[in-house]
Amino acid sequence: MIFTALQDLWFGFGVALEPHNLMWCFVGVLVGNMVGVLPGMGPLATISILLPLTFGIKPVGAILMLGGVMYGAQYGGAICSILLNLPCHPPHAVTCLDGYPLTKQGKGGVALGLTVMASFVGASWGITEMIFLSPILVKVAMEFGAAEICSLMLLGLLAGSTLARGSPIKGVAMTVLGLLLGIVGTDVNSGVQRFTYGAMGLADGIELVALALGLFGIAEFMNSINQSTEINTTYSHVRLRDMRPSKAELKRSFFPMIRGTLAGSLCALIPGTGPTIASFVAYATEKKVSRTPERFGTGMIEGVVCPEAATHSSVQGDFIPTMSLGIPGDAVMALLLGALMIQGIVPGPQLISEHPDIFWGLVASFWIGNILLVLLNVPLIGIWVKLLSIPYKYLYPSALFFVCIGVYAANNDMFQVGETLIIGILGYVLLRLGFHPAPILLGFVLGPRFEENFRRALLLARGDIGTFVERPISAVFVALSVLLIAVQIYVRLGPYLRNGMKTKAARIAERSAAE
Amino acid sequence: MAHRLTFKRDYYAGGLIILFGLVAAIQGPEYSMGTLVRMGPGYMPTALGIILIALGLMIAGSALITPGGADEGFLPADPQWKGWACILAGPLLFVLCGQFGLLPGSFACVFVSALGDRTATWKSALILASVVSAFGVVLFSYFLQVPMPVLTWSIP
Amino acid sequence: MHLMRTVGRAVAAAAFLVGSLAPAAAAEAYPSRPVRLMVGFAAGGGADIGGRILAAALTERWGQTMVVENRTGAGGMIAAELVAHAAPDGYTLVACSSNHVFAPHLYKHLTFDPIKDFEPISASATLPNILVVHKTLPYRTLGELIADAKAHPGKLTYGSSGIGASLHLTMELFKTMAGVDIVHVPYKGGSASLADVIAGHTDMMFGNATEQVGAVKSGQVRALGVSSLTRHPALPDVPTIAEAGVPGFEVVTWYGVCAPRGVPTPILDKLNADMVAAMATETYRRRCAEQGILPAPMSRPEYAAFIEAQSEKWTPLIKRLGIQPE
Repeated sequence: MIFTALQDLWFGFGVALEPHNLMWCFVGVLVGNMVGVLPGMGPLATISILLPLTFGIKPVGAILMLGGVMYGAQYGGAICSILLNLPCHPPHAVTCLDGYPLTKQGKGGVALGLTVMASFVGASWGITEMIFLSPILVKVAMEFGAAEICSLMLLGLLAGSTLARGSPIKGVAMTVLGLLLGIVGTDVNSGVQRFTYGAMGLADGIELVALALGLFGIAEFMNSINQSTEINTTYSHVRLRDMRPSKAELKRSFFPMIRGTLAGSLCALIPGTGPTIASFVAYATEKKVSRTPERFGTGMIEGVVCPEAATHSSVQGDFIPTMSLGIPGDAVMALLLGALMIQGIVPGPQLISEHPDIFWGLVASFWIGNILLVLLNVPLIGIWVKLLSIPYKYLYPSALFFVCIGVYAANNDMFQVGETLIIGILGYVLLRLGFHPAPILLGFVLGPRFEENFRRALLLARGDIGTFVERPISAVFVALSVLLIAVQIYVRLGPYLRNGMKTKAARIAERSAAE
Repeated sequence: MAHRLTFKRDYYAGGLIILFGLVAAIQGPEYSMGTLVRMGPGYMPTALGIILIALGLMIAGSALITPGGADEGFLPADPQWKGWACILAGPLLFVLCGQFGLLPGSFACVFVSALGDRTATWKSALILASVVSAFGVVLFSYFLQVPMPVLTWSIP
Repeated sequence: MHLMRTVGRAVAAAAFLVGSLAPAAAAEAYPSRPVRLMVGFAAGGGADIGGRILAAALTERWGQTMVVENRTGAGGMIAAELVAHAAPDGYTLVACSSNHVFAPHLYKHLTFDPIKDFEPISASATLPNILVVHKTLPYRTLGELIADAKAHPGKLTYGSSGIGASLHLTMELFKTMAGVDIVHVPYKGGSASLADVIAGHTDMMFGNATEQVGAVKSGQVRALGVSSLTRHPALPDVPTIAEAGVPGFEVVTWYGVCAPRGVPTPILDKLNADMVAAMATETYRRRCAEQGILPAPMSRPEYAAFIEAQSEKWTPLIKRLGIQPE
């Protein structure tokens, strides 16, 4: 089987390297990369815009281009997250947490360089997976029913609620708030509109891009305006040498990259989990396995490379169910499928046999495209970094404009720009009260899926709540969740339970001594 | 021992969370609740609301036990009212002026938000707004074909 | 003075004449700039592709582009609202679909009337829904399925693309007419539902022909019937539900174009004529066949009657199901 796969791959390279197709691939990755840098404009918006173009191109070229936009956009997305603390697109929100502090330390270029590397590693694994492991992975994915997804979401919520720095209670509160915000909209299981108060713009829920850009963008602008920023001066004289990561940094990044990649590929398989969840899960896992978890959020390299590797591996992996089953994993894949269908090609298991040039050409083009992106991005790092030397007073209004147009372009909906504004205000208030907004995104993304699948699992099991532990995969996740809670309780309350009274008394004594 | 029950950030933090929780817990039951195994649309919001209220109480409660620290004020030491107003006016004007097209919307957004900076002048904001909106129109309208008219007189 | 009055009257008469000719003249010149077709669903989906195929055909015919703009949300109602409030000059149209009849029952606070605020132009395509079952289930014919479902009410489950969406309502109509009880499991969208039928988590679903044909042909699911009155060209071996066990059952998903109320009649007529002509072209027919949809040219009164008939057909069922969210 592997041999035939290699043969097909060779054939695919032949297709992808044809000058005509190569050109379309290049156009795709270039446009995707450039647009990916713009906040809010993700692959979805870009592909919708390019879709009419594909009418006139042959199918192979069209799909190569659109695919290129998809993963190319992910390369661009990390840039603003690291340099400006502004996630261009939700999967890169976690990258801000450690990326921006790195920039403040003058290491923005290093972070970018490592990101490109992590992206390539993640993507390469995703591609390999797609080639050799598709059939097995698809089978595994089919085993994931509603109960399994629900338990997994629960695990993710528990693991990720202590994602950001600061008080864990506040972290949990933010996660729960995110869950609540995710509930706004139409309920899948009953059709009831919740918390929309009649506003049609909210009927489909709060837009994720609006949430991410409001919380991380507008709130951040409000936080930074008129504060003195030393970053700008550091970057006026940047040499190429400064942007290269040191050997130690490379070594530190190795395992996080691997772990991130694995997290990403797992998330790619499970229906309904996309790059955003993958990046959060990878970050949370990395923080949990690290020996110095409290330093996450201050500029840990691991916290940057891990989610980025996860994002890229997840994006490449997302193609698997789409190409092999004909079932799109998310809206972007649905678009890709639509583009294929407009060309008269029906995706599904027969795609590989009926149109091997498309399938294998696409797979081969992934690698070519990623290499092109690395070649494109590395020299550009210097330019992006120079961006930082623009005085903040010119930078933030421009960024604000990009945020507005980006959110608008996501769904051609001005209402969502208004959403971004309100969320921005909320985000700033939360920042001032000592909350960190990152877990809101986690709760927002995982929460609705948890509820949807919880109710669906019970529906399918006719009300038997034992279904969550009777089904083996689900039981594993539930057990892990329980374990996680137990560990948390032990770690947090243990000292108090043992020395509780004493500590409190000691503190009161301290206070009265100080008065 | 003087009880400094004056402003403590975590009171307000907890209070905000309790507020969210109350909204959810009160609105939730209006959508039918159902039971745990036959959940209605209102079950989850109510449950989450109650959890939030509990968390909010814990946060406010923790403010009671721990002594106050530095930077406890809700507003930063140097409140930037003008700056914030300008930043918030940006997207607002984008929405309002954007009814007339991308050009007025982007110009208004950049111009007003740029004025928020202490060192900004009318001239610098004007130049920045012109440059950015011109660039934006070229990039978004011509290259990316975002469906928004550049300039229009009709209000839909 | 006398002269002034005569001149005044002449000018008024001339203005009146020109004014009455203007719409006709405008119709001759229509379209003189790009026409926007608002599609209320995501790009790449069935309604969007249907709209794009039509837009391409009309663009070719006119020499002026028809631009497709996606404004997703609220089951297509956001796009509909936009067009209902748009300037009635014929340059902003909406791509309506079956959802146009269903969605108003789900969204209570509409700022427009989905029937009265629009002028129907013509339908552009129709497609049936296909009843598919998970491949390991033992039913080979629709009759077997109905028999088993009758014997064990509540045992089987079916997926749908969402409450109040056409796939949900199709199955509910089927349940009513066949007299069976099957448990509804709603999903967010047809493909999510299809994924679970393929995996076997749910037993069956009614699916959009465009989405299902691939899965049926590759054997991932088994098709037991199509919901239209005639067999689907891409699946000639699959009987219609009407002939296989539920006489009189007919559901079609349809796409069409409507304009806001107030667009001058000459323009409406020209649009209709152009659409019908575009739908007769070889390219349009070929593209539709590739998607598994059938061109459906109609005259304006025919389309208006069609929409009204659909509304009358579905409203009682929707009301009986109690899909009143708020």
